[in-house]
Amino acid sequence: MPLGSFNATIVNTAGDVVPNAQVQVRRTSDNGLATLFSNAAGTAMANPFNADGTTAFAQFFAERGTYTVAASTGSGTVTWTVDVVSAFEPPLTREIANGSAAAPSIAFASDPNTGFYRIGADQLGLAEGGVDRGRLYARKNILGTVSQTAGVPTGAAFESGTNANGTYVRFADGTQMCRLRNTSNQSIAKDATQDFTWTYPAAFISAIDVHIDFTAQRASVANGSIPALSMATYRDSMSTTQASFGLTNLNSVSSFLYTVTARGRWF
Amino acid sequence: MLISFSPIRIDRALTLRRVGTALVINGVAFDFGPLKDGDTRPRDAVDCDMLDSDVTRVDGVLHLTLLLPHGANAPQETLFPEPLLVTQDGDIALPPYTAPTEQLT
Repeated sequence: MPLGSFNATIVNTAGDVVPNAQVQVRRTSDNGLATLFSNAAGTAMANPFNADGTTAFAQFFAERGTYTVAASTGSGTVTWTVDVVSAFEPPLTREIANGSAAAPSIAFASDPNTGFYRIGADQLGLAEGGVDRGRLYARKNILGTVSQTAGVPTGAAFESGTNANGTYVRFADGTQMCRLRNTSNQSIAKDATQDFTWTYPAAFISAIDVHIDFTAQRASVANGSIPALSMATYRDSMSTTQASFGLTNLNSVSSFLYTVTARGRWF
Repeated sequence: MLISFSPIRIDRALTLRRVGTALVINGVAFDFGPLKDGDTRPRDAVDCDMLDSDVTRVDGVLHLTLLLPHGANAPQETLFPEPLLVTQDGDIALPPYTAPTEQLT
């Protein structure tokens, strides 16, 4: 630790300098004799020591802290309470021990089991009350691969992807939504029924809890400029990977596009 | 044997091997040898989670669609897979489950 210094010329209560005055330095915290150094490099020095024989100049180096300096002037003792601060403040970049959840390396004096520590290689841990609160979420890891153990997230907060069967998003809480927007015209005659089968872009954990929404739209018109066509749908069969549903066209318009969404859980 | 693929995000990968007229899907063998030309075996008649279509034989070639599981970082060839014509016995090389270098950020 960098050392700080104390410099003073010893004078008595009358204001006269006192050459060779004996100076003793104690730590204010426990009144023990302080460890003194004669220079910033840490050369050991006696305690007590004598001020200069001519100028009565007294100087010492010590670790930062609060000290009680007592000088004997012959006609009495003069004392000071001094704060020795480092002449050179420590650099901001510090390398510290890994720590643990119970004793994080960066913690608070008033709450030593709350703070940051190093879990392992390239892993920053957050501890509260001595308990690992898990990895921190930030912009770079909030999106990624979701995963979980017993319902506790072990991966990203959100995962999304697109494949030939549509687009999906998985949330860390277990919610999953899938969507497929059909881009080629479908055709069913008025009042006719046709079966559709959709393999989800991502698998659900339970077939029965998947909710399907189906929206049909007139094919020849730009998106959104015409109300959705009304179609009667019924659930045909479902698995965790596929939905089959029947579609009855209630309109005189036979050509349409559709969007189908599925909501459920992935764990 | 012409295998089409239906990509799906699932946490377990698929393994595929051809043994004669049988297809070994995730270690379980399904023999489609008895299927005559022009015949169809409905999907529901095959007890296989990974099967995503009926199984048919057209001009002597078996046609079927399988689910192709992939991870969160799968490459394009897995997300939009091409059908695979399998002509030889042995392990069938599938599009990768996940991208070779996964970004851990």
